[in-house]
Formats: sequence, C-alpha cells, structure tokens
Amino acid sequence: MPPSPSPSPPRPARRTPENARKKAYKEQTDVTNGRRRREAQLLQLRKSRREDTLSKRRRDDASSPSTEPESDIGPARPESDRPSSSDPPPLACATDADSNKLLGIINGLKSENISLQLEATIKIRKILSVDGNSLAEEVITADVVARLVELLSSKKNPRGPQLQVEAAWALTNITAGTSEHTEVVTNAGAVPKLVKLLESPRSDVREQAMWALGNIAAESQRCRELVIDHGGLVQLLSQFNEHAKVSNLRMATWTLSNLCFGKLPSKSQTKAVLQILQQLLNSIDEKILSDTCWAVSYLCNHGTDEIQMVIESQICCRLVKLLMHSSPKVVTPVILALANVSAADDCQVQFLIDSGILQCLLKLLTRNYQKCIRNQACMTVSNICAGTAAQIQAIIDAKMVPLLIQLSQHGESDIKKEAIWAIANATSGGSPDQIRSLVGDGCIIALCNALVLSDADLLYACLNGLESILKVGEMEKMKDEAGTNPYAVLMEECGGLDKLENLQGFNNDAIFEKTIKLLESYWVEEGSEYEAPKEPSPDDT
Amino acid sequence: MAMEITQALLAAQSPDTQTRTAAEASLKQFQEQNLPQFLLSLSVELSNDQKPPESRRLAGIILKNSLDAKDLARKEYLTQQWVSVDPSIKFQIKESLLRTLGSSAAEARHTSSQVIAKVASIEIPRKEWQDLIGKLLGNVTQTFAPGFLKQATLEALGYVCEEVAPQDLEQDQVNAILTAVVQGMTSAEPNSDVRLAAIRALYNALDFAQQNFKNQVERNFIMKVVCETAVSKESAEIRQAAFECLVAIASIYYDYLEPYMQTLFNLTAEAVRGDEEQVALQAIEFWSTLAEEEMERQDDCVALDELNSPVLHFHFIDKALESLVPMLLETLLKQEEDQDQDDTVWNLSMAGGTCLGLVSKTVGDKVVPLVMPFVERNIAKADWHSREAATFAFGSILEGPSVEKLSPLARSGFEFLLSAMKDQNSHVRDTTAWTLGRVFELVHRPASGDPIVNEKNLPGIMTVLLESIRDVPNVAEKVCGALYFLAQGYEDAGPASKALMPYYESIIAALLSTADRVDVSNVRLRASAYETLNEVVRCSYAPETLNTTAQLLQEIIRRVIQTVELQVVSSDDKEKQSDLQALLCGVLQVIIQKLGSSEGKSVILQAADQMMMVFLRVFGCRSSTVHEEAMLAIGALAYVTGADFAKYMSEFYRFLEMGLTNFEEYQVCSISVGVVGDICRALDDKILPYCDGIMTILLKDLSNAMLNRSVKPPIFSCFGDIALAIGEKFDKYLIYAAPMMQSASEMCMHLDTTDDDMAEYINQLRMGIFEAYSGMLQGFKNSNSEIMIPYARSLVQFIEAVFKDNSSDDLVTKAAVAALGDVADALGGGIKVLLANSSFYNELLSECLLSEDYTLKETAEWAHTLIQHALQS
Repeated sequence: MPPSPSPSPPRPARRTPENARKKAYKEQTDVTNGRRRREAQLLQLRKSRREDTLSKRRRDDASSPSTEPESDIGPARPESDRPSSSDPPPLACATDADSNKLLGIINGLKSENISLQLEATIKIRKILSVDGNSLAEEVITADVVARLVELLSSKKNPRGPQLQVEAAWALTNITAGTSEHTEVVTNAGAVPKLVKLLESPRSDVREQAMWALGNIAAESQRCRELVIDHGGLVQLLSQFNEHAKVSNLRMATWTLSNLCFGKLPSKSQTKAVLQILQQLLNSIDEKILSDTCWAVSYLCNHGTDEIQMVIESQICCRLVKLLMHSSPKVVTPVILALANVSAADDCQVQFLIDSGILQCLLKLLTRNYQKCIRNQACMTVSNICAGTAAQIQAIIDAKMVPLLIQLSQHGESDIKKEAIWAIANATSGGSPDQIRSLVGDGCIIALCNALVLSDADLLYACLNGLESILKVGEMEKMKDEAGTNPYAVLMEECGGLDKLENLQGFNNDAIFEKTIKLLESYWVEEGSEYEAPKEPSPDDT
Repeated sequence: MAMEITQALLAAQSPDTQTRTAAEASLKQFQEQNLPQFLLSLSVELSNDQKPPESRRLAGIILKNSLDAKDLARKEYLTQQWVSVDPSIKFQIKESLLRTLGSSAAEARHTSSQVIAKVASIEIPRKEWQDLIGKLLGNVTQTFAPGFLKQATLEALGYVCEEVAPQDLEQDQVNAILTAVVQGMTSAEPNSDVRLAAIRALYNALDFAQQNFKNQVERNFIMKVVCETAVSKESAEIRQAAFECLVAIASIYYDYLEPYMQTLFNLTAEAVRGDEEQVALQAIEFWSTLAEEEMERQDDCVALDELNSPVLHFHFIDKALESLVPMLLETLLKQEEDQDQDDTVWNLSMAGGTCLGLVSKTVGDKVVPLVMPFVERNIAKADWHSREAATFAFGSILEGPSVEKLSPLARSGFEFLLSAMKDQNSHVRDTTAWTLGRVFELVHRPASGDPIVNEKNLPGIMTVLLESIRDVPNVAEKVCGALYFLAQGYEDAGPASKALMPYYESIIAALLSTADRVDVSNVRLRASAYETLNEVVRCSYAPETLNTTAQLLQEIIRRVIQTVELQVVSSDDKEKQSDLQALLCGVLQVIIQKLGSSEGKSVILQAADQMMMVFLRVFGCRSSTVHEEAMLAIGALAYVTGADFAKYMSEFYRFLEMGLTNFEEYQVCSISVGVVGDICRALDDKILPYCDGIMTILLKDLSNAMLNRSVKPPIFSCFGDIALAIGEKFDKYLIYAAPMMQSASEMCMHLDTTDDDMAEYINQLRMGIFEAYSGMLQGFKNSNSEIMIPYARSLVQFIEAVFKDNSSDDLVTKAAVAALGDVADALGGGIKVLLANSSFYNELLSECLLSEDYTLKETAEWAHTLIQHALQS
C-alpha cells in the first residue's frame, strides 16, 4: 500500500496581525524556542552523521578512481582516464588470444578504411585506459604510436573529427604513463600535430588535444619548451575567447597552468599569459579558478621579475580577495602565490598590505583551514615582518602579534616555527616604540622559549630580535631610577637567561659569538660567572 | 424527512450528567445510523425560528463539525462523508441554510453563513453548487432586502471567499462579488451593520481580485472606497476593518501601491495620532506589513540577481522614513502600567516599538540618526514613561543597522543600561534587561578586535545580571535572555570564549535557583532559566568547565528523580511534572552532546547507566505515550555509547515501540523514528534482533492515513539507516519497503508543486526516498547487490523525473546525484541497460559539475567517475 495522499491543507489564513506581532514584541525567540532549536540541531547532526556513514561506504572500496589527481604543491599533474591501479585488471596476462586480438587491432589501425581505423583506435584507447593491462605495454610501440600520430591529421571525412578525438585520447592515455611512454609520443612528432588540432572547428577535438598537450607539458621542462616552440602557447591562449565552452575553458586553463610550471622563455609570453589569467581570475567556475591560481603561483615561483610582472598586471588585489574563497582548492595556490610575493622586495610587499592582505591572513590563521594553508599564511606574515618599520606597524595595527605569540607556543611544529620567525623578524627590524609594544604583547617569552630549537638560522634570528629588545631596554634603563635594563630582567625571570647560557655550547660560530656578545653586553657587570665559561671554544666540535 | 431532535439537543446541554450522557448517546446513534437524515434534521432545527436558541446553537455547531475539522485527515474523511450524501438531501440542507440567512435570530444567521462556507469549501472546488454565488448576490442586490439579510449574506460571501481558493471561482463571479461588496461599503448603504459586513467581506475577497487590481480604473475605485471607509465617521469598527483591508492590500498588491502612498501615509498618520486605539493599531500594522514585504523583496532581489530582477521594490519605508520614525517614536510614550506582566495586552507603544524594529531591519543604518536624539532626550527624564520609551526605542533599532554603526552607541550606553537595572520602575528595568539582551545578541562580537564586552566591563555586567536575576519574574526572564545571548556570543570565539568561564559556576547556580523560585507562577521564567542554562553549557569553553558540568549533570539527574517521585494527583499535576521533565531532559541532552564530543566523554559513559535508568523512569510516568525530550536525549546518548547501547535495548525497546506507534501525537512518532536512526548508527548489526518489530511498525505507519504526513519522509530515511546498519540482512524487508518507495515516488510526480507547503513536503519526501535507496544500495553493495536490480529502474526513472521537474532544491539534487552514483557503485556494469537510450544523467551531472555548491559538485564528480567507469567496464 502506498502512503495515502493527505488532503491538501486549508489556505493559510492571512490574519497575521495581532498574535504574530504580539510574539514579536520584545521577542527572545531563541530562548523560548529552545526545544525546537535543540531538535533542529539534533536533526542537523543526524543528517551529517547519516552522510558520514554513507560516504564511508561510498569510499569503502577503491572502485571510485578520481579522474584528476588532487592538485599537489609542486609537480604538474599528468592525467588520463585510467582508473586507479587498485582495480583488478580485467586481463591478468597476455594470452595467445590476446595477441591475436592485438594483431587484428593493429591491422585495423593500419588500414586505409576510416571505419576500421576508428574501431581500432577506440579499442586501443580502451586497452590503455585500464591500468595494469599487460596489453598496454605491447601497444605502446613506436609503430603504433606513429600511426596514432598520423591519424591526428586525418583527411576530410565526416568521421574524421571523431577519429582525431580518439587518436588524441589514446595518446593522452599514453602520456599519462611513464616518462619513457611520453618520450615515445614526443619522438613520434605528436606535438606539432596536436598544436595544429587546436585550430580545429570542433571543440571536442580541441579539448582532447589540449589534454594530451597538458600531459606532455607536465613531463619536463624540455617537453614544455617543445610545446611552446611549436606555437602551443599561442594557440592555447587563443582558446580563451567568448565562444568557448566551460569544459574547454577548464581544460585550457589546466594545460596553461602546466605550461607555467616552468619558466617561460620570454617576458612577452609571461605578459600575454598574465593578461589571460587576469581575466580568468574572475571566473565563477571553481575548477578554472583553481587552475588559474595554480598558474599564477607557478609564475611567482620563477623569480622577482615574474613577481614584478604579476604585481604590474594588477591581479594581487583579486588574489588577496580570493584568500577568502570557500574552497581550499582555490585558497591553497593563492596563498602559495602570495607567500612568494611576500618574499620579494619591500615595495611589492607594501602592495599586498595595501590590498588588505593582513585581515585575510588573520582569518586564515584563526579559522579551521588545512595545515598547509595556515603554514603558508604564517610564512607570509613572517615575510611581511621582515619588511620596513611601517610594515611592522601594519602587523601590530592588525592585532596580529597576540596571535603570533599564541601560535609560537601552541601551533603545530611548522606553523610554530613560522610564527617564531615572524616575531624574530618584527623585533629585529622594529622601531623602539614598536619593540616596546611587541614586548608588551609577550615577545620576550616567545623568543626565549625558542632558544632551545635546533634550527641555527632561526636561532640566530631570535638572538637578533632579543638583541634589539635589549638595546631598547638600555634606553629604558636611563629613565629608570634603579638603573636596570627592564627587558634583561624580564628575560631572566622567564628563564631566558639560562637558555641563553646553554647556547654557549651550541655548535655554530655565529650563534656562539652572538650569544657571548649578548651576555657580555647586558649581564657581564653583574658577576663574573658569565665572563669566561669553561669551554667556550668555538672550534670545539 | 427531518426528525424532531430539539429535545435531544437541549438535553445534551443539561447540567445533569445522566441526562446529558443519554442525550449525547442518542444523537450519536442517530448520526451513525442515518447521517443524511441527521444532517438534514440539524439544518431544519437551525432554520426554524420557532425553536429555542440553545437547540439551534448546538445544531449549528454539530453541523459545522460534521463538515470541517482542523486535523487534515479528519477533514478529508468528513469531506468524503458529505460527498456521498444523497444529492436531494444535500439540496434540502443547502436550501434550508440559505433560508436561515433571513432568519430573525442574529445568531442563527451568523451560524448559517459559516456553515454555508463550509459546504462551499467542499463543493465549489468540485464544481458543484454553482448557483450559490448567484443566490447570495440576489439577496444583496434586492433593493428592498432587509438590512439583516444583506448583512448575513455579505458575511456568508466573505466566509466563502475565505474557504475556497481563487482558482475555484470564475472571474465573472469574482467581479459580481466585488461589485456587490464595494456597493455595500459606500455611503449609499444606510445600514452601518451592512457596511461593516461588506468591508469584512472585502477583506476576504481581496485574494480573488488579482484581475481587478490589474485594471487601473477598477483598482482606483476599490482604493477610493476603502480609503473613504477608513475615515468613515460611523464607528471605529468600520474604520478598523477598512485599515485591515489596507494592511492586506499592502502585502498582496504591493506592486500597485505607489500612486496611493501619499494618501495612505496621511491616512495612517492621522489614525495613529488621533483615532481610537483599535484603529491606530491597524494603521501601525500597515507599516509593519509594508516593512516585512520590503524585506522579503530585498531578499528576493539579492537571490535573483539584482539587475535583472523582476521583483518590484519601491523603498516605501526608506522614502517615508523621516516622517514615519517620529510618528512611531510618539507611540512609544503611550505605555500602560504593568503591560509587561499581562500577556493579553497589546497597545500602541508595543505595536509602535515592534514596527520600529521592523523598519530598522528594513533600512539599516539610516534609522539610527533619526532615533538617537529621541533616546538622548528622554533617557534621563523624571517621568518613567520617557525613560522606558527611550530604552525601548534604542533596543528596537539594534537589528538592521551594522555592528560598526551600533558598537560605539552600545559601548557608550553600557554603563547607563547597567545602572538602569536598578531603576525604581519595573517596566523600565524590564525593557532595559531586554535591551541588554539585544545588545549581547546583535552587537556583542567577542572574537572581533575590539569587543564591546571586555575584561574591563565584564565583571560589572556580571554583577548586575546575577543580581537582577532575582528581580520580579518578568524582569528575571529578560535577564535570563540577556545571559543566554551573552553566553551564545562566546560560542566558537576561540580563546576569547574563556572570558566568561570565571563566572561559569555562579551563572549555573543563579539559573538553578531561578528555576527553583517559589514566587514563579509564570512557567515561562522556569523554562527560560533552563533554556539559558542549556545555552551556557553548550557554549562553554570545554576543557576548563569539565568538572562543573559533570557536577551539573549529577544535579540534573537528581532533579529528574525528584520529579518522578512527586505526588501526582490531578491532571494539572501531571502536566506540570511532564513539563518539568521536558526541561530537565533537555538539559541532559545538551550535557550529553557537550561532553560526549570532547574530553568529557568518560563522564557521560560513567553516568550512562544512571541516565538511562532516569529516562526509563520518566517514560514510566506515562502509560500511553513516551516523553519526547527523554527520547531526544536517548538519541544523543546512543551516539556517545556506541555499540554499548545494546545493553539498554531490551528494556528500552518497549518504549521505542510505544513512540513509533503513537500516530495521534505525530511529533512523538517523528522523534522516535529519528531515534531509530540514531540507534542504527550506534549499534550497527546489533540492532538486528529488533528489526522485525521496527520494520513492521514503520511499514504500518507509512500506510496509515491518519498519521501526519510530515513523519513519512523520515520513515523512508530510516529504512536507509536500517539497511546501512544490517547490510544484506535487509533482504527480507526489501520486498515490502521497495514498493512503498516506488509508489511514493510516483505520488511525488503527481502532487501539486505550486503550493509552497506541498512543494516543501515533496522535496522532503524525495529526500527520504533517495536516502532509502542510497542506504539499501550501499548496504547490499558488498554482498548481494543484484537484489537491487529489479528496483533500480524505477529509481533511475525517479531521478530523471526529479531532474526534469525544476522544483527541487540543491539538497534534493545532491541526494539524487548521490543515489545515481550509488546505483553505479552497487551495480557496476549493470547500469548500462538502465542508462541506455537516456541522456538525462549527462545533463544532470554537467549541470551539477557547474554548481557553485562545493559539496554538490564533489558529489557529482564522484558519481560521474563511477558512472563512466561502470559504462566502460
């Protein structure tokens, strides 16, 4: 029996006034509706737990390959429609029957009949799309690949474009394999033909060609140059026009980001790419946006010239806004790009501050983002702290210092380090007034606690920071009747002096010298015990 | 032939129990044995002017109750019952009713007009009784018709319009009704009772006037007559009814209002300032309605892409602001003594303040400079009316304007508000406490750089609040509200949320003793105290408060046991006991959730036996049903205990069954269904021994026409939960459950989606059905997925139908896409046949892949991959 249809409810009465309004008078709805709210919360909880249970089941076995590997920081990402290797291969090993079948396929491929060619190409493509298929190795021979490349420029025929797609698809699958496989494809002269296909009037043809080129570009710098030398970049950029379909734009952006992974041969090319990226940054499509941001972040990796061009292309403002994008797939490349920019010169850093980056960073650091995002955000902050006094002031004004101090104590280890860098940088470069404010927030303790770390560079930075602080403390000493350096006292109180003393045993010249200098300058007169520790020999290993 | 039932009707109202019971029984017997005759006899009784008013009155009531009921299922039953009555008898009844409109007894006329409307609500949509409107209009348009006939007839017309939907009447009928009604309103009609009935009928007929309002000439005429009536000298009742029409017009015909706004402003301003209260209240209501309408339109504009939005928005409130706000501020000074202690009062200052709140929500920052001078001028005056009005004005504008705009005002006003908590006038203290609550709710942002509540002023605030919670009950209730929002502000505020923790213990103590106050006759204070306690616990900073919360847990358990041991004599006692148990179980639920998800889990596990015992005792206080709040708390507890919950099942199952079978109290049933899901996730296959029982009841519930429909979607979801928990063992239920899902899917395709409520229901039902399929597909996936093959086709068809009908929301679409993925996941290559010759799934997926909803897109990507894979395999 079906659930019986319920009678339709009567029309809702329109008489809102008195009773509804009366409820609105001095309403404290939440308080009086606690029960309903609790029930709603439980319902929500129930829903998400149901989803969890379901999605656990859905991920239970590995039958769900992901078409596109997750964007990782660093290497470009080869793609194919190969399912993941955990899938049981349908063919365990090549049998005689398989060999016969393969022979048939290759004959079809070599025939002059387009139907046979098409059929054979599809079969090859399918063989290649199953990972672990022992036939795949046999298919990827110079012969077959050369023939596939030939088929890319098939004659005018109603089924020509389909054949082009299938051939390009097969090549795409091959280029998703090992470096050797990709080399077979490039050696067969596929690149110029694939570039040529980008002029095809058919979007499916262009899309498949881009995919193959993207995979090739992901292989190595040499491969990227090969694609660019054959005009691939120019053709690719022309794909971004108002008639393009979203799927084409996605593919083109992804391929472009792979080409950007290496340094582009000329500045004018970088400029042209940036012009396109600038437009793409306004896309609402998350995939396009994400790949665009990856492209930008790769460009920023290539050096200060590129960073300067990025700034001149006026996209930083947009990038800063994108820090607040809801998807980590976008935020990750953006923060990587901005971290690179923040490592550049003071002017470039100022540009970021003017775009309002600090408020965004504050949010990234306080909310529940992935660790790598928070880490990069913290690194960006520490880069900014290494800037001018005005930039340090901006950090203070953004109320970032208490957060940094907290992160330096309780953050995860990488983030902790970055936070200490930030504090060390700020104290080293800050003006006396800024240093007083930083000390007020608790920087001395943070820096002293860091004196037990083993990273020599970071230790040195901390000592530098403490030195600046102590110098300011000397100025205070003049004002103080007792004539003590208040900051030195603070250091003693928080156990910093003991840690400093211990550093005399640290095996690094620069640190040893800095330590001695600090001890001698600020504590020596109090007693002689710091003067000549027993074995201060820097040569001691 | 009608029967003589006067004596029975009179006896049924006799003070003597025996006589009464006997008469009721005989009437009931008549009703059951011969319903048509029974109804006819009632209508004859009602129409006969020779009969005593008492018997006619009861006849009318029984007649009405034989045609309509609040409960939807009952209403449907009554409708069918009426439809099946012999047409000739129905004709006699209806004629008799129409005759009664001319009766000399006012009460009989009135009842008859109501009963006519009830009959019309059944027959008109079925295209029956098509001459009704004509006959009614005949009564009104007769030149020499007596006034009382016209009045009763207009009343009947109004009720008919209220009962039937606009599409059920022909446009020429609507035109005739409007003409007659508007005619009755004009000053040409000498009888003021008739005019009042006419304007009230117009109110109900407005929904039908879409076409007439489109036409400028007709619209001008209607507006002119209504506006004239709004200043009619005759009686305040008539003017009030006219303003009620204007209120309705503001919301139904907003699009046409612009040319009339100047007139309407003048009319309402005069009424607010000079007319009697009942009229002035409606005039204020006009602006409240307009504000709400404009807020809705703002939302629609935003939702619909501002530039190409078809939504008209004239910004009337904004344009009238400079005159409107002073008018509303004046009303605030017209308070009555003790209005806050009397729930039935509704006066000018209350309406004015509420309207001001809506206005400020509509225009935001702009309202602030118009109100603040009033606040500053009045806040320190000697007359308490001024002080209260100033504070009320300030509290009313806290929602709408930006936090940036309000923060400095709240900051500088804090000290003042705190000291006003000691004002000698309790009305002022009440409003002040409410305003503090609003400040905490709307302006208090602890995680911001410069919070208005900080370590400097928090001690002072806490001192005042903890002291004022002992004030008179109505003030104490507002203080609870203030504590509630103060605590809520610290939820998820990071390290800042520690700020309140030094006071955690004293807040809890104060709330517990507030709940215990003996001077509380008003149950609301107790409820507020416990609900505030819940919020304080929920938002507390967990690690530091663990011990205190654990102690609270024991205290609440102790209090529940106390309620169980209470002496219960009367039904009143019983209700009080049950209400108190509800509040306490609510606190337990919150504590379970708070501690169960953090370091405090061991506290809950240790107390689990104790709590379960308490819940079972609470259940034991009732015989026929179970306690909803205890049920909810058990659901929460099951998550914390996980599979260990199995040990409680043998004792608990009895009550679960009781809840699931309670279709009369559908909320109880609904909550119990949800708890089944909770337990499934906690127990996994350990629930198996109880599944036969549970599934049997759930299947029965689904086919029970008397069960409120809102419970049915969760039942389907619950099928999915059970299937996920017991996996392949679900096979024996599949042949019963799947056909239910199929027929529900078909029903979804045929229901009317133009009705908002129905559209929402359909979406819930779709959601439930998809979740059921998903649970089953995933449950069978690893062992026996072929068993789903016979049902997969109808699922795919259902997905296609849902996709092609555009009324589904994103959540439903996501569930549909997920179910599609589940088919591919469970059946693999088996989907080839299902998807052969259809392309909809590609469109569906590509649409979702472009969605801005991240989770929808992810689901689509997942499903896409699985389908591609399955198709290529």
